Amino acid sequence: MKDVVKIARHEWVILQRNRVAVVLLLVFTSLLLIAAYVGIDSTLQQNSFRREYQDIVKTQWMDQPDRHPHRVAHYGYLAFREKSLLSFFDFGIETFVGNAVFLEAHRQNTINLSEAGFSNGILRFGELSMALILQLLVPLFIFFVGYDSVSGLKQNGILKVILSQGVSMRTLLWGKMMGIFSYISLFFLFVMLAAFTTNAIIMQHFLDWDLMARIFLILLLYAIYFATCTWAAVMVSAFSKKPGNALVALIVIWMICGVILPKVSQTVGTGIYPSVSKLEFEKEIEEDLSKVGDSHNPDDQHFAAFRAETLKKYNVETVDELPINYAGYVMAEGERITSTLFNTHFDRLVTSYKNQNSIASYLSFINPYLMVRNLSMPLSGTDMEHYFDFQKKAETFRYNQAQWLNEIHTNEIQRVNDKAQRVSNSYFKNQEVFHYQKLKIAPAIKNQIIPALACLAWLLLMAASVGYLSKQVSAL
Amino acid sequence: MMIKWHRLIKLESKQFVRNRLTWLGFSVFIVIGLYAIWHGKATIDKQRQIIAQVDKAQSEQLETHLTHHADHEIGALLYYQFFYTKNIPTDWAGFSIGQRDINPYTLKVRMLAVEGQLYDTELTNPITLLSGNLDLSFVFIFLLPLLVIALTFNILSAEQESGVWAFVASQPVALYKVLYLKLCVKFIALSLVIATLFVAAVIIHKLPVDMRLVVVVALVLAYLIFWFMVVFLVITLKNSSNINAVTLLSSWLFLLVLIPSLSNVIIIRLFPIPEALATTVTQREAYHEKWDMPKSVVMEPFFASYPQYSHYSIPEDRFSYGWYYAMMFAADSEAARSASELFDKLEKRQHASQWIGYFIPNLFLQNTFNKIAKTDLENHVAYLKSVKAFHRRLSEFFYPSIFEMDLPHTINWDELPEFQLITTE
Repeated sequence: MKDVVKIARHEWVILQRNRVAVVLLLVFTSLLLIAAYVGIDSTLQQNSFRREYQDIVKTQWMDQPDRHPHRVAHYGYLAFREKSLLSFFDFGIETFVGNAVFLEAHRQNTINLSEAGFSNGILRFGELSMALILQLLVPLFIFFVGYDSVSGLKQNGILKVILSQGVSMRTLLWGKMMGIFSYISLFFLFVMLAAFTTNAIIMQHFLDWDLMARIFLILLLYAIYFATCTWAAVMVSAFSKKPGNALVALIVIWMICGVILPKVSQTVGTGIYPSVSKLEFEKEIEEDLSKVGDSHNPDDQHFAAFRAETLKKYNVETVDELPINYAGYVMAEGERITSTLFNTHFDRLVTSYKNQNSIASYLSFINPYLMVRNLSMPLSGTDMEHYFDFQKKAETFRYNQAQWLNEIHTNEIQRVNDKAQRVSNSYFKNQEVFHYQKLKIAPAIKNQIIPALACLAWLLLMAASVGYLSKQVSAL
Repeated sequence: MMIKWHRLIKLESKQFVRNRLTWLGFSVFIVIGLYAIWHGKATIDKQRQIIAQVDKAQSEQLETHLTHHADHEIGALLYYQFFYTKNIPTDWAGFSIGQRDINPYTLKVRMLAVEGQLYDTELTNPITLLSGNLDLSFVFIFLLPLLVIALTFNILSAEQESGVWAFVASQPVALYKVLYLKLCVKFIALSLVIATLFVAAVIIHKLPVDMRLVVVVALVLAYLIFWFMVVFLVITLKNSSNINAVTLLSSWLFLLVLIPSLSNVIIIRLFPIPEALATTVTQREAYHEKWDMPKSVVMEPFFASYPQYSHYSIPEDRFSYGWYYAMMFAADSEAARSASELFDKLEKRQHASQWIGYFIPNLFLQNTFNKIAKTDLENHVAYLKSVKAFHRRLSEFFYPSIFEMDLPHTINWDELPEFQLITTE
């Protein structure tokens, strides 16, 4: 153990003498700071736009005149999705998903207006965020400083000298790993912590346990990720005859893990679990609707039965004799059917996406980049889980609002001369408007068991493999 | 002298061909290239297949609505009927998928206010969008430089390190000529690999052999030359192999990852688009407030634009479709300003990224490829504008029947305006 610390300390000295390492470290630290600044700044900007228009929409809702409830159902509500507190750190899917959804009766609109739709092709090269730097560039940095950690000693013959002095290969490997890892982590984890703290101060979120738990887990996750990269660098270096070979091998690994596999895994996922296009999605719902009951079809069987049942319930002969407004009553039934159908199909769609992404989840066991990507996004609140949570909650609000308005329509509007009537706007003013409750950390990561297990597996692999692998390394 | 150079080239080629790592690099590159060609084709074929369903969906819907609303005036049917549009991919779309996987290509519109219908998104897995496409343009732009670096970073330093260079230097030949020769052999080999992939792409994507192909091939070759120049510059600094590798990879990282990703966040930050939110909010409010206004006031802007209908009287005390669709028209007119500001912003974003592209070769290539393949933002904006124009032609086609309160069967459905993509060229 003492020797490990000694070697690790010596590694620090080597790193500080390495001009390339020092320059790159400064470059990366400033890049991280730039990314943090740009991230926080654009999150503030985007959220201020969304809040501004959300307030306008709210005021417009409150100020509406007396209206027919079904008018209000079509007037609906506009909900804007705010960026999460940590989206400045990891953009995740933020840019690729919509930000505004129109919630009206009868229709489940898509969440529209994504940044990606308003961007040109350069977007696909990536966006500079702290997560991009930490996930893709820092490993390269580790490889640049680690590729000759052992192979360099082999090349100049020092390795034999060290080993003959009674230092075991195992101790040497641990020492090298500890040295590089502590050097890297000290810098980058500190920059991360500083960015998180600044962000918390700017966003005025101090004693938010959910946020703190997320930050803690993110720091832990990235520490494990850096350790994995260090382990890979030192091991590849130990098994290479020449530093050059180690460098080439590490670059190839980086390329495959960071660039090729993420793209290929999605293509494979989409191939195995195809998902429907919007056209097919709508067609399927329409077909199911014609089977269950279409309130817009005058000859529909379900609605004929529904009317007979209603008449029986109120013990009357015709719709005109009903004490309630049948138009509103039947609309509520229609809304119930279409919403149930939509939810079933939508859940199926989301499941197909999750299945597609499961390929990347399983690949986390052999690809630490996918492991860190799959866990960093949910922790930062910028993954699919958070996005669909917003969509689900918005849909629930839409449904409840439509049904509440149908109820007013049924009870407060007279059947005769239906369309010309209005109800007092006090009804609407007292209704609570849409307010999104952010997803908590526990439900957000409960579906990330596979990448979490992969994270654990990497930790165990590192701890267990050094002893075994050290015996296989040749000193020449 | 001639014979000597000839022999040197032969020797160098032999050495190059015998290197196992070279073959490994080349075969991996070709395999990824072929995969990319296949991926591009599969992605665009899937889009074509969806586009092929559009006509049937449209006519089936129309048929259903014609039976359901046969006894009602045309305005009722038009409330439910969607009219589909198509943005058909070009032959080159599979080579450079660009933004085609993000943007919708089968937008459908009703005769309601168009601003609320333009930005409906396609249903796609966001993680797939985030991961991006591995198409052939990506292979050339992103991976080709890495192969160049891998093949060349140590051609001088390795020989210096092994002592061969000292021996070569003692011979009566110009050292730079030997270096040129070494680079030339690799350049020719890489050009052959690129040519192979292009031949495969022409066959598999059924690319027409025309000016576009010439431009694309020329650009890829120019890009290859650019990277050879970078390599030449770095290796003549005569550092060790390892320093060369790190320097070259850092330049690759700088050009391919850092500059583009930084540009993205800066462009989005400098040209934010609150106008998109404004358009949505304005259009919704403008339409709905009309319900609570006197009908004569609501009709004013419509009659001003379409005086030919101003002799129709609009009943003040009840619903009429002439009034209903005039409200839709008014909502679009009121949102027109923020909508055109939105398009201006999109143009600014497009200009900004083009401008950066003039300085960064890889961005220039990507922009040009997307432009040739018509998979860029410009094409999408042209599509959106065309959908707007189509919506207007549809509305103008139906206005006479709406005001006349015609029944659906009296309309000559064969004369329905057809969607056309209007591009600026």
